Amino acid sequence: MSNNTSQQHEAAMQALRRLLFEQETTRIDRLEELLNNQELHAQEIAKILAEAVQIRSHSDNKLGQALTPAVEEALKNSIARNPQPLSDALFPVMGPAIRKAIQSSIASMLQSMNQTLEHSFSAQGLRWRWDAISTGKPFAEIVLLNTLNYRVEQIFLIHKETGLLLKHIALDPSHYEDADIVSSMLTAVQDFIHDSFSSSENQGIESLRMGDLQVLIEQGPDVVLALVCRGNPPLSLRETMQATIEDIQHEFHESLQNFDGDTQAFEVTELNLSPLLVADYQAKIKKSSPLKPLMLLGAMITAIIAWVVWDYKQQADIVAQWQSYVQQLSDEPGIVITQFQQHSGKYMITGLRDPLSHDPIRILEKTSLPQAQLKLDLQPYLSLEPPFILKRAAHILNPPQSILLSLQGEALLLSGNAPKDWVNKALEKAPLIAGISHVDTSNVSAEPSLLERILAVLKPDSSIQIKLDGDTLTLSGESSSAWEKQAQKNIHSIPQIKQYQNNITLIDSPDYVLKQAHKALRPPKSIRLRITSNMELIAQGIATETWIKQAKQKVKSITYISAYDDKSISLPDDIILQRAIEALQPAETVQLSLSNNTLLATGEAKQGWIDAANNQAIQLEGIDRFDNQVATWIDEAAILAAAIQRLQPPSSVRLSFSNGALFAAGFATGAWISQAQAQFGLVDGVHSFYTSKLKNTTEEWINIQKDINSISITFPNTIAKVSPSIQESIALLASLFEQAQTIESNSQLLTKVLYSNTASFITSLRLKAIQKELTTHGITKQKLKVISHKADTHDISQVIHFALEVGSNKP
Amino acid sequence: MIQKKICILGAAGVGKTSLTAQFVYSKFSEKYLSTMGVKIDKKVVKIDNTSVNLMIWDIHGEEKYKKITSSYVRGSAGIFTVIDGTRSETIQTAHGILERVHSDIGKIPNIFLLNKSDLSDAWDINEQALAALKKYGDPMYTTSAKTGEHVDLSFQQLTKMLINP
Repeated sequence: MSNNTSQQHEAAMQALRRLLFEQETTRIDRLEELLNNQELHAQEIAKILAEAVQIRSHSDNKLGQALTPAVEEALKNSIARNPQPLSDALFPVMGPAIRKAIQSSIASMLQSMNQTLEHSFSAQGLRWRWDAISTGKPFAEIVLLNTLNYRVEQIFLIHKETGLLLKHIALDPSHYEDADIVSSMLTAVQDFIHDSFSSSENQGIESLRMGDLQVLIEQGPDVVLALVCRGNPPLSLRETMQATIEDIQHEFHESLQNFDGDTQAFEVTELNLSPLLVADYQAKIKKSSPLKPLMLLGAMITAIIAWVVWDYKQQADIVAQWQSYVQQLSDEPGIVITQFQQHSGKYMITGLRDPLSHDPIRILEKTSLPQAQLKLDLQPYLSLEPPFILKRAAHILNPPQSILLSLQGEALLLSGNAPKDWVNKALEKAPLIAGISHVDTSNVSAEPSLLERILAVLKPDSSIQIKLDGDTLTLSGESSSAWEKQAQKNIHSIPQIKQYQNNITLIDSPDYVLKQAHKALRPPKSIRLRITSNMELIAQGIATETWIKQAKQKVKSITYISAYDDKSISLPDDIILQRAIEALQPAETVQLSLSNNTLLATGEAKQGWIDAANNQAIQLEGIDRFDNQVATWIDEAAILAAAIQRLQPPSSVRLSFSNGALFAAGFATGAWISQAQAQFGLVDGVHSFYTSKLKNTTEEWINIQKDINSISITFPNTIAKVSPSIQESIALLASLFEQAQTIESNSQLLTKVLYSNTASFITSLRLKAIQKELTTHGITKQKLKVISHKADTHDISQVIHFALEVGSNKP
Repeated sequence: MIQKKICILGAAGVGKTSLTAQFVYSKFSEKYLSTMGVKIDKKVVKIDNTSVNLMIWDIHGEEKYKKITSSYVRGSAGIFTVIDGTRSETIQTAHGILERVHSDIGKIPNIFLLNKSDLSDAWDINEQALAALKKYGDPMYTTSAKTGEHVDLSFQQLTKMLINP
């Protein structure tokens, strides 16, 4: 019953709801369908897409940037599939664009040519060209520097956190190889400035300037943009830089966030950065006034006229001077001028000239006329004027001062005194001289020739050569000193000899005789020959017997040697020493040496040999003294062996023998020590027995010491740890040590430690480890010392040996 | 090409600049170290088929009154901490530097270089001191800027650690 009532109630509520909310329910259903149905979504977006794109494009350019990759991909696919539609679509755009580009290039080229012409021929251009020559810089660079407002030469895109270079663009990339280091240094400089002046986190360097070079820096959240500019960039460049940073931050946001050093993703930033690589030049230089060239032309014409007038007058003066010079030559005896003419700036003089007349060039030098303008063509001829004939005769005949020349018609008259041979020559030569037909010598008195007089006075033999040159006499060849002295005296009796040259070699002089001796004897380098004023030849030094004998024979053939002394020649040391060795027959333990004729013997030998050598040595040739330092030889090993045989020491005792004394060291019982002291005198060669290093102890202690010596502690690896086996060895060592202590309270024990390691500090650690281990066993005083160091620190294969010496704490 | 920034840190006089000079040909003068406290060099290291351009920041040695500038270390992919094998006190400096790097920029690949191995007679580093460095878990090499021992190897190893973390 109640159930039916409830159902009726619900139906009524439903009816009521329909009446009140039917419209709202329908709208909610439609909205629900709109949200859930994807197809309807697309339809709805399609309705507003165009407007949405339009609105967003007006507000900023991010939609374009977002669509760029998709559009690029779509274009790429389209061209790959079929390039024709795109080509057709672009044709109306590309045609005019290409034409425009070509026109622009031609215009740019024409402008460049205009600039070149202007820069080349204007005053300013010439000044710049002079600057280029004087500074050694290219002309283009000078022009650029003078017309440049600013130019961006390099762009650095830097990762802000790491300072690594993301992208670098330069006008000329070949000049900037280390851009990555520059990028890091720029970051370091920023950090340095930032830390030094504690500026806020967001502040940074905005620019750096050096001369006309400026680095503009703009910061982004993840990147730093640095522009290297020349000149004065405008403020608007900073705005462009900031916009570029924003674009890069947006476009490469993900790559920047995940940057791990790989810069590949930032290669394409060149598209963003290239527009910043700009330059701005000054406007064209203002044109000069058109009057200036006219004024310049007028000035030039005036200057040319003035120069022509001045030049004409100069030329006229010069021609007059040349004519005066020609007249001077014509007046000169022995010179005949036939023609004078001017041609191509040169003055040509033609004619005849006797060689004995004055030199025309010397005459020209007295004027101010330039020699370079003169072309002289004077043919030689012989003037028959009497002064020229006489001058020519004197030049050819070279008469002595006692002869006078004169002319009578065509006859040459000679008068005065002259040697016969000169007169004969004059008779031969004179008729051959132009203007002379014969010679008259009736007034000449003949005299003997000078050479005849010299030969008559000196009476030289055939080994003397005589040379007479004018008034200079030269004698050469070989002669005795007596003849040479006489000749020198006699020459003074001939007054015509003004100079005397003596080149005679004196064959009886000591120097000459010594040279002859050297030639004949050919002494070895160890021999020195000298000659006394009495012409005694002395030989000193060291030489072989053969040479000494041959020299004695050869010296007899040398003239002027009065005596020969070879007593100071000795035999070579090595021969003397060899002879001594053969004669004395020393044992291998004896060393012989020779110095200053003293034979030295050192080493050890039997007494018999020493005595025999003392007798024989001084009798040997070449030995003046025998220094015998040989000690009497004792066979210490044999004596030690005999001592061991006799005394029978236990193994803990070490015996040694030196200089007749027997030494015992180590440990022994009192009984053995007493026995040894009683018996050592029975050993031949032993005169003393020292037991100070011998410790008197018991048999039991000696055995313990043997056991300790047999323990070797070895560290086989490089770790400074004490292994269990080493611990055992050290424990055993400690135990034996304790036993030894009970017997000998002041005992000193020694054991061996072996290492196979490399570095010294590790060794040090090991020593400490052993010390520590010993301490744990109650042995508190220890020391370790190196007894054998065979290892190189870099060679781990080697082994280092140490001795461990354990002593007692007790005093 | 992959680029990585690495820093060479350590006490003054441990041989950082000499180690760098042994590894690279320096373009810039060492005066930058005394003025700015840092000198930067580069070297391309090839690991298998990968070339890595190492930008090496040689930072001034840490002294009592001159701490290493953290901003220079920021952005580093890895560091070398250099210790002078003949001066045990430089280990303490290395501890200090490394703790500061960890605190400022976090844990990054590091290699300890026990430098001056050619001076074995003057060696002053013991096992205990070295054990204390092992807590960082970083590799350790003995090096000699004088003989070149392990220098190239250390740079190769750090580069490997940077590209295969």
